[in-house]
Amino acid sequence: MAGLTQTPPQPPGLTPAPYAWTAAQGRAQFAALAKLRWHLFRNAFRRKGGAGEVVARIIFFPIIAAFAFGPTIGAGVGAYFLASNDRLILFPLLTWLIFALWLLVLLNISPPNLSFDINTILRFPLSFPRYLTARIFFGLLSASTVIGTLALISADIGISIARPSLALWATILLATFALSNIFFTRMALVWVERWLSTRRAREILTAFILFASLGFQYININYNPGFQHRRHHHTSTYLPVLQNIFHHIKPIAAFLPPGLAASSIVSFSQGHLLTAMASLLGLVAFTSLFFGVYAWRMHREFLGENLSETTQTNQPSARRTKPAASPRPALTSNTAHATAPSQTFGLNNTVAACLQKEFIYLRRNLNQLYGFIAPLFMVFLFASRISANGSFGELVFPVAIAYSTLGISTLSYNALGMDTGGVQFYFLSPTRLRDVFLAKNLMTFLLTFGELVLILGVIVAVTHFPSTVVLLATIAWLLFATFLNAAVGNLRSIIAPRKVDLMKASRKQISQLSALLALGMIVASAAIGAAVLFLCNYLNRPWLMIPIFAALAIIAFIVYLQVLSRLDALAFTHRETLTEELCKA
Amino acid sequence: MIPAVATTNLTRRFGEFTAVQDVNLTVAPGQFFGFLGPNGAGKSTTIKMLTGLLAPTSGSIQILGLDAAANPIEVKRQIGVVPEGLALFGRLTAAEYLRFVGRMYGLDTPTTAARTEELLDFMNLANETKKLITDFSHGMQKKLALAAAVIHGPKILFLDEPFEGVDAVASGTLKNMLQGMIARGATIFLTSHVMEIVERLCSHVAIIDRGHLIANGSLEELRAGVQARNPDSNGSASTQTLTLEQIFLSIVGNEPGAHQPEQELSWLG
Repeated sequence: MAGLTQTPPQPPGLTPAPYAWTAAQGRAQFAALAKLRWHLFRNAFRRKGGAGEVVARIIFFPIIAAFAFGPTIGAGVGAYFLASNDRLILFPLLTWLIFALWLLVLLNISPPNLSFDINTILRFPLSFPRYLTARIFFGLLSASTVIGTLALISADIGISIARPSLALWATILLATFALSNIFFTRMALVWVERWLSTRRAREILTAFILFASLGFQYININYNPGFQHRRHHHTSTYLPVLQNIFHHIKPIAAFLPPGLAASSIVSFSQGHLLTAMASLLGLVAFTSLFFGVYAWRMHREFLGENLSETTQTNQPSARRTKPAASPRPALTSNTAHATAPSQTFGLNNTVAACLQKEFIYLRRNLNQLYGFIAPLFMVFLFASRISANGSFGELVFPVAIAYSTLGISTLSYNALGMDTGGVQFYFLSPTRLRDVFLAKNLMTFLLTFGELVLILGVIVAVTHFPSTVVLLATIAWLLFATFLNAAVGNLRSIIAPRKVDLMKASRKQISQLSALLALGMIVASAAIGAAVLFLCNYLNRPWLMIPIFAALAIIAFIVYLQVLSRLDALAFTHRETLTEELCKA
Repeated sequence: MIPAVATTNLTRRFGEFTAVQDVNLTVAPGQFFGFLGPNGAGKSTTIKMLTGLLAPTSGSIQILGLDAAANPIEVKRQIGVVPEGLALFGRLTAAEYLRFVGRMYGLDTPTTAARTEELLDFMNLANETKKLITDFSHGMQKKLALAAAVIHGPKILFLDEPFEGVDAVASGTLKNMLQGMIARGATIFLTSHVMEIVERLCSHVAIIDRGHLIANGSLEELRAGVQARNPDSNGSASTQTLTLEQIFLSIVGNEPGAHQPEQELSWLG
């Protein structure tokens, strides 16, 4: 046994790792993590279709840049104006606006997708401080942080130019405020993730957010002076209420981070150093609190807390009542010839089965339901006001229908996305993919038809029945747009599939290029509709719209059928991309 | 007799890399066939080609005498598959999924409903009526995938690592079912890394290595072949009963460039 306890001689260069972790090793870990992030980003473009994604990002970049540019310049100019005109007393307004912008961007632009579970780095010998640092840095370059920080830097520059004596203090304050915002948003995100660790909780929250947004639209349209027009008396009624609420909130707001950051600068400018210092300390305390709560959550994860539902379900089911290996002779009966009739409601069995599955998915997909309900709700809100203005007249119905296509038609551009790993089944079973797509398209057509009928009902209820010409022309245009979107969408669904993870609302549901194409197709079909409308009215022959749109609809339908007939061959050549993308973890 | 599976010069290339090269394989009806190979040998690529998930670069595949390329739909009617990714629809319940699969294979509604109930009961999933598949554990998902693969009573069942991540109790259930299918004349084509399982279940084994089929036959034939190649100290064929693992290692050998553990990695442990 002695041999087992002996330390074998170490060859040169292979000395045991020291127990003390050196700073160099720590730096090497961070360097490795940074390199990992870079490789993941770079390799995302090396996939099939990566070039298209680059092009789409280049097209989208100016839009996002413009979104960042406006607030940045605005904050700088605003700060300069307030400081140079001795109106710093209004500075809290600016800090609150930047804070609100920070949250707004956070909610609307998802943080960068890491493509991997950051918690997997726990398997490496990382101390908690290093783990925490890595967690803070990963995902730091989110749109909200970048835009919010740029706005604060710009505000600092504005103040510094206008009042150089405030430059240092403003820099300290705004830097602390930026840190406070960063830790607040990170803290909020990880705690929301903690609370939403079950599917049910996520679904409830998604429903709440979706329907709250409808409520917000209702309030916006009914109480926003911009929508009131001839109802100024309403504004005059609500304004005092809003002012009253503001006066009640103001003292509380002054003791929150945006208020503290602003009041410290204001106090410093007025020479009240102690008050300025107290506000700074208050801001530091808030920052520490946010950091502490965030770190606490991170520590729980560092200790191995796993919120995965799958892990929970790996436990033996309490309801299990039977022994697993129940030898049931019933499985011996082989009635493979008990095949179904080939037609169900005129549809073959595959189409009928897929259509039924699509209905189940629709029922369980709040985002899809929202896409169906939201346009109806908006039409209901807008139709009466637009009609009252008389600005659209007969066009309320076609405009409402064109608007409603935005919600539904994009579904066609990633039709297989929600099937995820199930897409393999289509290739393994005796199924023609054109039948699967036909079922998916039928679902879209049914939704479109349902939307058409309901919108017509809403329009009739709040305004009047559209003229026969407008009604028929709109239906013909809708057929044209629907078949066109279905044809292009089917092709994109096979060429550029994107796995849709319904558990993660922030994940992109469609590829960048497909999103651009969907938008382009909708804009193009709307533009064609507008051009035909203008031309026919110019010629004083509005009825001409009906045959023109009908002809376009027939052409689109032929194109759609052509695409449908080629889908199997196309899917056959793309099946590896499809299964690889949709089956990935 | 028409073979259940037959391939002729089956080849698949990914760019410059050849994953499977000229594989000629024959599986007789009623066989429990184990398809083995080290990591990256071409097992999954082969099974994907046999089941229609991947197109061969060249060569042909016959399933029950039907050309898989010319009659893909008819071939798929005859086979059941549990692929690597399980091919499940996460937002359905187990019963909804099996009913969907049954209809996709052309079964009528009463048959589909009866078999769904029977399979869920057999797989001990009958209590999970409300749970979505996405919330199932991996083992439950695997059992469900197997249930879906057999709902239409396939003549050939392709299983890619069916026992991976499945607990011992569920594993026993699956083995019982598979042996029952063999007893009733079905053919099973199985890949697994667990040699004990293959040895216990399979009557015939093929081994693929670096894209080439290097062994194919019954366990006894492979054993005899290895023993003949490795005579004992007297120069006569060894009489020792070799396990499948020993046969496998003897045929495949060590990875290229591999060294004896005692010579290298001495800093370990």
